[in-house]
Amino acid sequence: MTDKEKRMADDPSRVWPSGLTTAEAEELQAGLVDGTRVFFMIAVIAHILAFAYSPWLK
Amino acid sequence: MNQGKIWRVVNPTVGIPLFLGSVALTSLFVHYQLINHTTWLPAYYQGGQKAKPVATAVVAPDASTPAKQ
Repeated sequence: MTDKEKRMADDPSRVWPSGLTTAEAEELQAGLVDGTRVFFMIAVIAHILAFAYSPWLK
Repeated sequence: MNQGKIWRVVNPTVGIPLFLGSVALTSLFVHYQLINHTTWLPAYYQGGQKAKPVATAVVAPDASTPAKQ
């Protein structure tokens, strides 16, 4: 990469093709990951309850 | 966690509905399969089946032992 390209890639205020900056993209991903984890924990609890009521593969 | 930069090149206006929509579709698919391949989920929705009380097999010890004379 040329020096200019390197500087452009490192620029924290650069707006990428999606319209987001790197910080915005990371912030979005952090929220998405947190939400996915909450969904997963609720699903785990639901599977535990379902197995207790009606175990499968037994 | 480590794929955050995806949103630099994928518009979240498109990507997030795609992600959440795929989760919803997967959930609908799994529940559909459970309805069709288990007995207990249709029974749950049917309702009206009260669990029978467990028959008491435990007899009081005093009644079973004959009185000593």
